Amino acid sequence: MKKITRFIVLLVMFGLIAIGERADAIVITVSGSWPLAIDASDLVAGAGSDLIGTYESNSDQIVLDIDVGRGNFRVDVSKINTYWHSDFQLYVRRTSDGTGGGKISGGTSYQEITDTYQSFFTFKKDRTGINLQLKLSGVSVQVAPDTYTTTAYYTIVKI
Amino acid sequence: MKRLIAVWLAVILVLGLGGVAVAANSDSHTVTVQVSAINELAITGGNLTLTINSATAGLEPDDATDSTTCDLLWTTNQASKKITVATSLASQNFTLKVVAQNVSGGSAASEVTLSTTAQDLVTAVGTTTGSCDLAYTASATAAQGTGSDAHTVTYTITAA
Repeated sequence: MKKITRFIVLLVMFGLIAIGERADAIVITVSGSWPLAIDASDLVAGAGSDLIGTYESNSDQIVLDIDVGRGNFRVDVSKINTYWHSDFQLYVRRTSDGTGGGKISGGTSYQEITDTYQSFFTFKKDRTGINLQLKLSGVSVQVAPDTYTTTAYYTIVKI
Repeated sequence: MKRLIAVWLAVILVLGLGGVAVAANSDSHTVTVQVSAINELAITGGNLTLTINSATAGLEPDDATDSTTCDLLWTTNQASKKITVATSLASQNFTLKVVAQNVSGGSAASEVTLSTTAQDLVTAVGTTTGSCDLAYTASATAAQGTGSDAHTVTYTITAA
């Protein structure tokens, strides 16, 4: 009987641990990507002119969904280059608040995504449908034909 | 009974670990920039007529020249390029020459006597925008008489 009681206690403990883990789960889900194709149609004025230097994605190119429960949180952003041109600068801005409770602030002006994490915006509760827009600058005919790829990372930090 | 408890324990553990497994405080997206090869070339100024209609007594007719009507513009994002020139007219009564002047984004080759074989007009074209004036010279000898040649002159940006 004692053994059975011990098992039940263990069962309850593990159950609480499991529930606790779920309650503390911080989940950010990023949807979308930005494939950008640049060709001769992007010349400012045809032959003899340079490429358009700056490109913007759709305002809802990337969508963030955040599941954190409640508290004070921050989203940081950085990138890791797979193969990237040194002339390129990649920027991001938040174009919507999404839906959810609590306050969300910051990140509505373009900021460069660098190779080190930087603060992007802060929020308090779960949110879905936070739209992000991207901007690429530094494009010119000096950039050799190729496929350049980087990956932007969004990380939730509890503050 | 023990077996039942053990089964429940296992289920809860799996569920609990599952909760941990799906928890991710970081996610990502890619940005892919595909830059295609760009080799664009254009002529401005339109068609050009050169008329040889004067001479100094005792000498061959004067050349007819024009270096202001036509310009060549180009853009390339590929290295090791050059611009060649050729005419469509295989059998010519008179001589037509061209040379690139005021070149930016490349180096002028020597003056070319046009033929159906492509010849260098601008070499060392960099990954840049460029332009030049097209300076044409038409010449004829008295022995060649009168007549006209209609050339279609083609400029091509190609691998050096």
